Amino acid sequence: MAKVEDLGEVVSADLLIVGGGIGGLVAAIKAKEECPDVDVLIVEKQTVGYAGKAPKTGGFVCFSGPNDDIDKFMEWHVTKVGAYLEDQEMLERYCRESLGCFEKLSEWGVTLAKNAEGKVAIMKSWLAPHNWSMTTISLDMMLPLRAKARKMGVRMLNKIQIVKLLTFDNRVVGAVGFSIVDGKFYIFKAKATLLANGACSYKVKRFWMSAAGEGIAAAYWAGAEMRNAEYGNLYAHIVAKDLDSTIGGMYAAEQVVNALGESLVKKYVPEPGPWGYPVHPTFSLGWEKEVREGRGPIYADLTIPRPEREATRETVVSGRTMLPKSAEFYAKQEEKIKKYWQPTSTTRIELELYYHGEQSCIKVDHNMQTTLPGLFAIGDASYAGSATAGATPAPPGITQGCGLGFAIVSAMWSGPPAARYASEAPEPEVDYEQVKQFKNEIFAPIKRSGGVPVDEIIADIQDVVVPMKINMRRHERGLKEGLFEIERIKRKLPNLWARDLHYLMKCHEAKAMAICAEMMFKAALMRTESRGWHYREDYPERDDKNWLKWIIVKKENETMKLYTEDVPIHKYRYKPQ
Amino acid sequence: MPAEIRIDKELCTSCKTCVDACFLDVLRWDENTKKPVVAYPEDCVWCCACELACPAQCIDVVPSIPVRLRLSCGKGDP
Repeated sequence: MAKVEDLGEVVSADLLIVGGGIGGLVAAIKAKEECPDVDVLIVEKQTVGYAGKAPKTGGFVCFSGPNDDIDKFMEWHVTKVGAYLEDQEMLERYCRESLGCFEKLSEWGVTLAKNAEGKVAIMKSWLAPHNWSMTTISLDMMLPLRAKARKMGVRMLNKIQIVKLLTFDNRVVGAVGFSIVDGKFYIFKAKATLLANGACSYKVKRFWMSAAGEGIAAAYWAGAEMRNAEYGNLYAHIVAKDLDSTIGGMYAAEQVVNALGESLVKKYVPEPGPWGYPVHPTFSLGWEKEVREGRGPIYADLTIPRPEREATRETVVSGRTMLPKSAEFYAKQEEKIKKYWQPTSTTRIELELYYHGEQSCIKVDHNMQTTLPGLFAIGDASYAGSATAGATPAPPGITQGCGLGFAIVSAMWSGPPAARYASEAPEPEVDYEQVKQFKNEIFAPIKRSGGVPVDEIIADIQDVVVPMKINMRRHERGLKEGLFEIERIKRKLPNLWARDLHYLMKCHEAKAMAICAEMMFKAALMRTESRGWHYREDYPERDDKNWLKWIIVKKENETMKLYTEDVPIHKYRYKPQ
Repeated sequence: MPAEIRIDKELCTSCKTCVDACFLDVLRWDENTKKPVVAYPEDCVWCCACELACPAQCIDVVPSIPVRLRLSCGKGDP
């Protein structure tokens, strides 16, 4: 009788964590704290301790400080940012518990900014008008966590891409993947599985993430529900055109002018910020209009002083530089830019909107458990799906500084219930035929002698998800065009060709991106209103009568189905007028 | 090519930290020479994590500026 052992290397664990970034490490530590006997294994596509965005992005986290009024913050967020699409209980929980989670990291050896008393320093955030605080966190945050996790007995395997989840009797019982170094096929049997492998970014720009939605796609293919997929749309940073970067060359919205020198903020932003984000959607749409109507290019006028909130930001950036590892990282970026970039003017820099999307739509409950028994999802994989942030792209979600924050906080929330599930669940059974089928699918692109190169497919997907006319200034016509193109791309996927294991990894990233794009467009087409960061040119108004609903996406009999679920607004404190 | 990654193999101490630090699989490890290899420079986003992590300071990441974008990724596609 055929055995799964004949198909590849079988590795068993009580709790399998997919992704060795900040979320995976924190979840592993919390799981071991809760149930020390639970055998925890982290499997990472690159290297645990360096993977993911955390060691390269903002270096700050936002929360409610001891002097902040949570009620006022919640009211501002629900009315101005999340547009009543939040799970308000989750948002409140983040407000009440997040600072404690960051203090816990400090106890675990992570370097955070400290005040004179040696406690975590709390600074006012420039991202919300009142009642929101932040602190800075060193970019080498994962190395002490990795050391702690190892000491607690957490096992780690690197350079393995997880592609599919294993199911048995409607329960997730592990996953399969392959080594991107030697091509070995791995079968992970687990009582519980936790996805901590990030969002789908579509790799649009030069950005510090390697996730391409593989966790989302794996959960979808296994039958888990998705929520808020339409909020995987793009938002924008204002950056120098030549640099295409989140680091260096970023400018304040107030400095942005058209070719005639007219301020775009004054023309297009309906009310003064902040809005929780650097760029309000109406600003982006106005920017596009200026270019379309011949008043481009758009510039940063450096003779315009940065506003007061930007001055606060400068203080925080200085605060960030006090943490040595963060200082090194940012100084290195500045050094490269200074050395290799010669702008034509010192007072007028040509800009572009840095379109940037992160889709994080795995639906989870308050324990970060998905709708599939045995499967949990945290951080960038389920931020929008948790509905914590409402009608916003998440990350950043609630405000900037909450992407990293949510990864840490949701990991703290998920570790104990995932560990308890793993300690109580029966031994997993694995379906040989399922494993065999997955193995054939996974290696098919590298077994071909030729076919469609994966970079071509990724570029095709980017060409569909990026254009403003399709995915930011949304309209039935453009969304249907986007879906048509995605269907055309999907028809090419069976002929994907990988010339080596690195490109095989990229093939599975491309497949994940395609399914993420499909669910994003379908959900965006279904939501016939404008709400938060979802703007429909053909339905420009918010429709509270018909659309206080979440859109749920689910695979049923190999078909993508969409449903709506009422937001339980009756039980929430903040309701539309 | 988004960046050129120059590694001084004479100075390299074969600690492999740069390969661990690269989160995009741009750098690979050559088991024969016990040195890093710039295997997939086409995927480098010049985060410079390898350069920063190198204890021997033998890596220099040289970015290509201005960054070349696909047309669809540019500003205000009308």
